Amino acid sequence: MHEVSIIQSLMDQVERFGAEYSMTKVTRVVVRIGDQTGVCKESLQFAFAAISQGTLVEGAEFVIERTPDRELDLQTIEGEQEETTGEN
Amino acid sequence: MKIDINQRILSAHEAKTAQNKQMLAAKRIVTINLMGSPGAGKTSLLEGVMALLSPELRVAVIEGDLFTTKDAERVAALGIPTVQINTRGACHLDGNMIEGALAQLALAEIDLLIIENIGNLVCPAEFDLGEDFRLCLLSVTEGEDKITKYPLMFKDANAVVLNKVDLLPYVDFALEQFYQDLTLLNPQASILEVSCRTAAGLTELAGWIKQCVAAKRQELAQAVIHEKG
Repeated sequence: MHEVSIIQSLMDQVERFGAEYSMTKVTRVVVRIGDQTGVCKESLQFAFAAISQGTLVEGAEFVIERTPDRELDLQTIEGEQEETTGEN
Repeated sequence: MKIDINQRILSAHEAKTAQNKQMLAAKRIVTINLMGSPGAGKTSLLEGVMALLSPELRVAVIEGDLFTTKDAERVAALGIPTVQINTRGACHLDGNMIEGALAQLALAEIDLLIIENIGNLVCPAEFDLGEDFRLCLLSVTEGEDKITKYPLMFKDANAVVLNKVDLLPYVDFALEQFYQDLTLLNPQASILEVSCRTAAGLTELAGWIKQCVAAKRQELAQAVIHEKG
């Protein structure tokens, strides 16, 4: 039931990192979810699709890796970066 | 581009909880997170046990519910400082909500804070509120199978309180199975049988709570001694 709050927190994190790395679009998000958390994979997928709409995460692939313990971690994000002009 | 993050998804909630916990410890307040199904008797338990704790301990209560102030009104009627949190649909309490509630309490005048969580055997188990002790309430009308069906809730409990034992003769609650499953899942948990309706077992429960407060205070005092070197 609390999958929506988890995805909301996740989305805040992804958007923060996306901004920090000047991403124009996030294409892939990988999370690790432990089996000993009361979290349902299908609900996470559903919440991710719903909440990412209209953000730079919309349409991104959402990968859930299951682990045996209590992990609830954002592992990696992938995306397209703003074209750098000169300096970098 | 790919960025490696490796961060807890609930890190914002967890940081807030750590901050709340620090503040409570600084004020020497012992915190209990009271959890259980809707209708298990969480508020009745507070009503029953309060007279046995107060005035020896100055108690305050944070009430979590989706809607209404019904529970806060019941507890406040006992003369206990009470803050109601309405989550308006959310299934659990989190660090932010607790921070907001703490701001409404006179922390210098509290020894024991009891947080009555949202009635739910699933989600609250996932959200540590910075509590020192977890008290899970189960009632005999729910059935003994809840221990094995909702293990996350009962696994980390410091005490499991079985309520409505006055109804045992009238319901098919397998008491032996309950003890067997719970002891297997969580051998450390204290198990107490009560009836909030008849007041049976409430003195023992108050005793358990007082023991918790004493143990935590001793721990805090020792931490101070260590700090001073």
